[in-house]
Amino acid sequence: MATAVEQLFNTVVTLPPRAKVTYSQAMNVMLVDSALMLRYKEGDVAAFEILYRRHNDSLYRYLLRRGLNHDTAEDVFQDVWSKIIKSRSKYRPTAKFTTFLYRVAHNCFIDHIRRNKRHLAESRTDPNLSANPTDEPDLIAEKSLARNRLDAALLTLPDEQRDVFLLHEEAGLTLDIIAHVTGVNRETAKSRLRYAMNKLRSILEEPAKRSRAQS
Amino acid sequence: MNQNKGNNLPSLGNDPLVSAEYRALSTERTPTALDEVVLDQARAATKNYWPQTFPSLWFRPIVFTATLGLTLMLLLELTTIPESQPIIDTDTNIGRLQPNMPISDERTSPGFSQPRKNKKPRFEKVEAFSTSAITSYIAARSCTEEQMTDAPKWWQCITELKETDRNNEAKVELDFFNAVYPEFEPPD
Repeated sequence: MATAVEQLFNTVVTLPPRAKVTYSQAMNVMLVDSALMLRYKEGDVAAFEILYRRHNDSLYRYLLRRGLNHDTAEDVFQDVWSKIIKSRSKYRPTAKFTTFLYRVAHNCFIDHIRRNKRHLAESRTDPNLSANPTDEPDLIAEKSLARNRLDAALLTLPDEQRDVFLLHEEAGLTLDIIAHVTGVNRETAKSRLRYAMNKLRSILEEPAKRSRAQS
Repeated sequence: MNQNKGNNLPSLGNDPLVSAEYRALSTERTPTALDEVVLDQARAATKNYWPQTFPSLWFRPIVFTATLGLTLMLLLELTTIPESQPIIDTDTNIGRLQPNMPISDERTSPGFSQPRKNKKPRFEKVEAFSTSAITSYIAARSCTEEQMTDAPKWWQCITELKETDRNNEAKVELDFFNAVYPEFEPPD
């Protein structure tokens, strides 16, 4: 097993095993997630940090868009990473790290819902949290409106369709991996994604259609 | 993240509006405090981590087996220790024995055997007597404790018993005397 692991790692970048490494920006790009996780498994915290920085924001947004408020999303987010950290000794690069990560996230979310029936966000995403401080107030207001519209559109989707859409858009997973993560077959995942896309498109196009009709 | 450029979704390829709008608006970032919590947890986890490297693969089973072996040895040792150890009674200078051990050996035959001269007490020899024999001796002993700690004095006591026709008592005392001072040689 160690040989296979080393081979996988060395296909990306040749490093002596357990060497002390300072990760440059270029190296960050070169190292695949699985290799970083394997480095972390050997005790390399810097490798974990790179891995974390690659996925933290998208995972956080995935949880927020699943319908959790900020506090709950943070709890589940922390739970997901705790599980990743704890399972590092058993980690095997049999699949992409994102598959592993979002499978854990998906399960944590399901567990959270089972534990707390009232999971849906009372106060959803705070528009000001993601606003660029250099934006003009008008632009901030416009973005805020658009984000609210997007969130509202997402909330109209059935949970399964929203999950598939977010795994596709936020995590960048392929249909096969989405099917694996959500525990359905590929055709079901594909169908859910198509329905979600169509519904979101119709909702997002509505204001434009309305303004065209008014003019 | 939004790295799904390479996905093969032919039926969804004509959804630039949805993807573009979603990506433009979905810009929330993880709070810094949360990042720190997770990274601290990751750091802490490596401090107490025993990596799955070669030594640990065989070292842990060995440690486990050794611990198990030692425990078994200790248990066996405890179970094979006699019920009562031959110890010396400091009051009577008589050792305690296991039950059902034979009372006599060649020195306990009828009649007086001649003890030898060595004055050094050999209390471990008393092991040849049964517990009941020792108990009955302690209850009915004729010589004093002080006499028993000194071979000539004890011998003198036995001689006096014999001279006063207390042969049974003298015999009991002599048996124990021989056990304690096997090398005592009496004066002519």
